[in-house]
Amino acid sequence: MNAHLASPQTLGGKAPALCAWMSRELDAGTVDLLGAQLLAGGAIQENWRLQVQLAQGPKAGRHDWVLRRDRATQVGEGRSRSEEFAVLRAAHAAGVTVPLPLLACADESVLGSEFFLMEWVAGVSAAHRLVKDDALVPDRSLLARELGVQMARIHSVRPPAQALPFLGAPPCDPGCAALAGLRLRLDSLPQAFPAIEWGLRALLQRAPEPQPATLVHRDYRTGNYLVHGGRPVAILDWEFSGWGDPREDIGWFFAKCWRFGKVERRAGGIGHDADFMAGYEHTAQRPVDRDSIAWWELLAHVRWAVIAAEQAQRHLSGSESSLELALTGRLISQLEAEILLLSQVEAA
Amino acid sequence: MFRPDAQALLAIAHETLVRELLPQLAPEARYAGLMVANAMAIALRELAASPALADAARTLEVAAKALDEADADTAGWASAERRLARHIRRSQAGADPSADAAIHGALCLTAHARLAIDNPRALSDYFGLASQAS
Repeated sequence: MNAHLASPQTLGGKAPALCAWMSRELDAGTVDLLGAQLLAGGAIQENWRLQVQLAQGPKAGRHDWVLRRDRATQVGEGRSRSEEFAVLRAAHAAGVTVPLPLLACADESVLGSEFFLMEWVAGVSAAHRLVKDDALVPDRSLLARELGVQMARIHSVRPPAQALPFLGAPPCDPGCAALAGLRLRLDSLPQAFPAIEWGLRALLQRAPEPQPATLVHRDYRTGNYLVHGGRPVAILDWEFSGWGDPREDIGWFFAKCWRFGKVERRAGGIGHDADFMAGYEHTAQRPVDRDSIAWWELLAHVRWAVIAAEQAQRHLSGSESSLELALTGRLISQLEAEILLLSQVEAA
Repeated sequence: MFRPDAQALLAIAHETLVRELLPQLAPEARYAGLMVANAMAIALRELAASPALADAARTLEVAAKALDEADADTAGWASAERRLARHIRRSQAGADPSADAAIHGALCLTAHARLAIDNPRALSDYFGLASQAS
């Protein structure tokens, strides 16, 4: 590589291996990495924005792409990068606005872990900015509605899906399956969480009638979509996706813990739930039972509390020393407070 | 006591970080800097919070003792939480309303005491109390 190109330290010294791989896969001849910027965020995955130049072949020219790969070993939930790529492709085919998926690599010998490439999309994902800055979101009603539309498109992907065999068989009762999974994960932790157990008990006793499973994103929330021109332009971070009850995604998006302080705006802290539902129901061509969503909001808090406990444990056990993981453990009290509140409403 | 203790040291270190270092940090270091400041603020509040935490621990222990749950230890947070968790896991809500009320009350008191340390600004969302100055 030339001196004016990305430095040898980029991508942990793996830039030449990446360029060689791109050259082979895309029949591109010489591939130059003109620049690489590590994007912020992501405790488990690493995203690099790349400026690449391909000498020949179907993708000849200069491109602005994103490389997504694993940073640390995954625990609990989570798809591999090649699986996530397949889900991204399916979502794209269903009309969901996502970065165009380009290529995946399941061969760990190239960069040390699986990875994929997708197109770079300009936009703002920073949750605190999106909930506060009206210049970024001049029409909150529009954004909320559009986010409902996008979620309904995700839920239009139904099992069986030939391209997604790794998702396995859809659960008959996704809600109960989720509760069972969360109990197992709690049992794997060295300490007990009676407040979380309290929420689980309330959920179990009020489990809703199951609905047919669809593709669910499982981390569809403010912070995981890009906004440009006041509209969503890319739904990101598909690593937890799978077959599930579509209400799980709605409950997660509405959950108080994901409103980033704007607690009065039930739709992700950015808008009103009525606008979101209008977009969702219009696209899904079926009504959503408003009363049923509260159960899924409680589940969202229980799930996030379990994840937070696992992340804190990763730090405490020494498997990954990280201030961010340690601080995540300090979010649990707030989640417990909400769980204790919502559980009583559920029981009423 | 003329030597600054842990609390006093941490307080001035936190102040120095926020007033002198954070404004100077390069943009890419800012997130880590804010996390360090947050961690120190939490630690400071935890050091100052002994009475409220002790209250919560006592209430938790009373609620746990009332249950018929054995545990290898019988003292301390961890044991009370284990016994309460085990009871909740194997019981039904509403089967014993007075036990439920005692447990729920103890859990709320504990969550409140912890939240006052972890994120006092969030207190008003849950407990209808004005947050204490952090």
